[in-house]
Amino acid sequence: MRRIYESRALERSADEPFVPSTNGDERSPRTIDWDAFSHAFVPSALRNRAISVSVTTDRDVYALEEPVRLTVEFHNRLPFPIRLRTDSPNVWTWSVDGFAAASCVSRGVPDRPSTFSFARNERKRFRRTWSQRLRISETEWEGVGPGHYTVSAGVSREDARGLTDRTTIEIRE
Amino acid sequence: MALLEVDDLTVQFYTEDGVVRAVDGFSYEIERGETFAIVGESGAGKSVASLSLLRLIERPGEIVDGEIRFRGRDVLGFSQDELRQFRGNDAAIAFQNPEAMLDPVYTVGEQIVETMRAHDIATGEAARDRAISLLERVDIADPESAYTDYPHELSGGMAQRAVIATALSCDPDLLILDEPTTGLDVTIQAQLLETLTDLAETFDTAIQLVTHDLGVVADCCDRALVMYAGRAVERAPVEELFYDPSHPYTAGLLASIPRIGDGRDRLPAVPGSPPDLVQVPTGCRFHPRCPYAEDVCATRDPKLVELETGNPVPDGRRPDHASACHEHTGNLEGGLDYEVRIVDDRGNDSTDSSGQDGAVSDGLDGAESDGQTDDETAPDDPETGGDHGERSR
Repeated sequence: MRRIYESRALERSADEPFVPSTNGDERSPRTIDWDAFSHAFVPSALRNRAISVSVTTDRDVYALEEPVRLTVEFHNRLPFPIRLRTDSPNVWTWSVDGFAAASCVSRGVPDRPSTFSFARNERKRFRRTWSQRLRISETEWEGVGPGHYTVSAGVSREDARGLTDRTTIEIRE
Repeated sequence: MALLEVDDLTVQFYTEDGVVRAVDGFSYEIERGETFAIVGESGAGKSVASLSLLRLIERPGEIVDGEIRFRGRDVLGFSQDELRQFRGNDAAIAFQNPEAMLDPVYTVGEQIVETMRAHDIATGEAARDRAISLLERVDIADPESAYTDYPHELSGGMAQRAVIATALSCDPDLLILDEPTTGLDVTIQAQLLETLTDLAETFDTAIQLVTHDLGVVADCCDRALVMYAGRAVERAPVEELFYDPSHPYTAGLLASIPRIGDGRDRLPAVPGSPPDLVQVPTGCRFHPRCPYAEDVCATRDPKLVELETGNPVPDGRRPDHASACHEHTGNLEGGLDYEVRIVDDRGNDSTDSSGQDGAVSDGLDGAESDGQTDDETAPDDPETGGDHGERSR
């Protein structure tokens, strides 16, 4: 019997002989990869300016221990796709008073570049809830006291100028 | 040395919404010939943990931490050749959806033979004979005819058996079964479970059974691990897990098993839904759904501790019964206020304060010998107790 892999109908990756290759499977070779096309031709400065970032909370003032619901929105203002390079596969982050994801403990995300892609005029909206607690160790969290707190979010890049936003909330007793 | 040792396994997926930590610091071990269950709701990370054993996690997921040792060898350090030998020869997996696992353009027999040929187990007539005997072994009626059938000609139960026969074709020491009874009617489920138990005994194959069906666990497993939001919350021999659940989530799962003859209008359920793994709750991950949660549960993450000593489970040691609840570290003031009621078919009723002393009431022995036991977990909490009301088997 003629077997399918003898027919050369299925190409396999040379590195991983038992994993079917995904090259060419995801999109037909006749289709233009507009993401890559735009990435190649749009200058880096314009790419950064194309994306607006906003952080909003459901209220400005919260009672103690009341959950803070925040919305982070990324918007591509241009009528063509934009792809941003990021420093980590965790393509965007949020923080409270500089503590990433309200934690003093770093989360094990590998330090390797990735990309954050937007279709033309695309808006991406993400939601988080901050329980008014800061993670102080692997197993412990501590409630914060009354005061003003800065909630910020942005694309994971060292040179993320213009790709971040912040807002301030007040927690009252 | 156990056949399989998993230490501190951490698997995460990178999505635009954030990092999904599907398995977080997961440890367990399986002995040769043992049937071990991983139980939990959908999305708890059971399947991801199982796929990780064979390094079948694909992008955007990756194993970021931990060790997997098979007969003492580091699976995560295997080369591609070693991995190919390991998959199939040492450990094999049967996935949840058998119709999707079988190639529709080849006969069932050809697919079993292909596996044997790829692993140099047998070729030609010998492979054919072995394939037919495997189909017979998994209780497929008329195996010679099934050998030449295409997958679409098989029923769901037969397809599941054919997949198990394929997995067994290279005589693996460990068989991973991901929800093998999902989608099968109860009669076929019972037959399949009987077949699995029989196979484990005959071939001395260890089985890792991934399921959300506690009835299946009760039927054929030696030990079980309950998983919640990527973490192990309780590990115990199956009888202890059923008669003395030490974690409120386990008690909730047991309470939510439907029971014939139960007069209640609503099926009890664990209140709420599993958390989003992008942002898990602070402290104990189960605390937003737990009727016994106190302030400490929201600010401190309980470790898996041995029930007898209250000490964290040391690396490389298999605990008899361990649970990740503040009740067992002495931090929960109110305690776990549910009780286990064991009612045998003669109507004898006995009660055990669960999670407190670990003792199982006297009625258990008689009930066990009958093999027909109804036991109930009834929390006293008036607000959420209804949802955590009862368990039965």
